[in-house]
Amino acid sequence: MKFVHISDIHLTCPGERMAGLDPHRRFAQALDEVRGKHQDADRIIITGDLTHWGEPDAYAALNDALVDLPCPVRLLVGNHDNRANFLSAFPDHPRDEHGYINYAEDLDGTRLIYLDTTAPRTHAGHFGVDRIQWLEAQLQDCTHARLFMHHNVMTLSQPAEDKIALVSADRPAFADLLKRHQSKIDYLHFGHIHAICTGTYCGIPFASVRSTGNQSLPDFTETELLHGGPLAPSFALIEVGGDGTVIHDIPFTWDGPVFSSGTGWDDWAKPVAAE
Amino acid sequence: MKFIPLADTHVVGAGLLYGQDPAKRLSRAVATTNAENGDAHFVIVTGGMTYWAMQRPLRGLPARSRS
Ligand SMILES: [Fe+2]
Repeated sequence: MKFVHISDIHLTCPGERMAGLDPHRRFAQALDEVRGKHQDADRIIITGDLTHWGEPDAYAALNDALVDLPCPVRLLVGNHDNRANFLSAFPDHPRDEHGYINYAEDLDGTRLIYLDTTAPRTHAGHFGVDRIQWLEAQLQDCTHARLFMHHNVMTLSQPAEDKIALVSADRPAFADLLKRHQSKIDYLHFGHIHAICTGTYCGIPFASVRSTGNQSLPDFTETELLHGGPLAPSFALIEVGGDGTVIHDIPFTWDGPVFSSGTGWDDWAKPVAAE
Repeated sequence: MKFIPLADTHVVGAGLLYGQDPAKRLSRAVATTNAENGDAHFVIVTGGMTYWAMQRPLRGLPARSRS
């Protein structure tokens, strides 16, 4: 299985810029890269912050952009999204019995689980008992699962950033659920932090991806402010095989020099200076 | 425990490599590490230390072990 993992596209009403850039152009560049080089992808998964301010026009622009793609697209909501406006633009989108945008599908023996970790008017993640019960049921009757979500459910040693992780009140139940189903959960994939961060949590590997817009700068002492800048964007290409998972970082906007070299020993020999 | 992996620093003797000075880049990595993660237990350099396997640039490696 091959997944394209894109996150934090932060679409605006067309014509509006976001933090110095045109998010629509960036998103179009990412999709062009998928069309050009990843026609064999099985899913394009966009883990939230689909829009920057949640307007209906921004969701309409998202809907318009999702054309001529090689595979189905899976959409998740993030803290910048507006669930009601999202559902107005995508009226047939699956949701759970409580109205959260939680849904799942089985592909090649793996249950792909897409989570809604949002709550109104907060940038922090929420996943209360009603959502935990839904996730528990999804995990109970599958043999392999892979979780996609917007928020990081663990803290990441960054005091300011950690203030908008999954709220501390909801962390223990989530961690407990992960531990109980650790043997069948292959990976946690998320966005939100606009940076690549990888590791393990409750014995499960995790990986985040950059934003297609601006990136954050990790800060291990700052307690109040989130720092970021116009670093180059990327998305992730996730290859899942029988032996495991490989995640590639795809710098889809790179238009600078490209150096090429063969793989033989002499291809890297030190040039001899002309006397 | 906290440690910093560095790889493929590709230090050359003198001059630039593909328009960059790798030793300068490495110095910045060391400075950032000391400034922001001075509490790390160790730095591990996982190969590709020099570009052409020269002896001299190795002596110029600015990283030093911390206790
Ligand atoms: Fe975001």
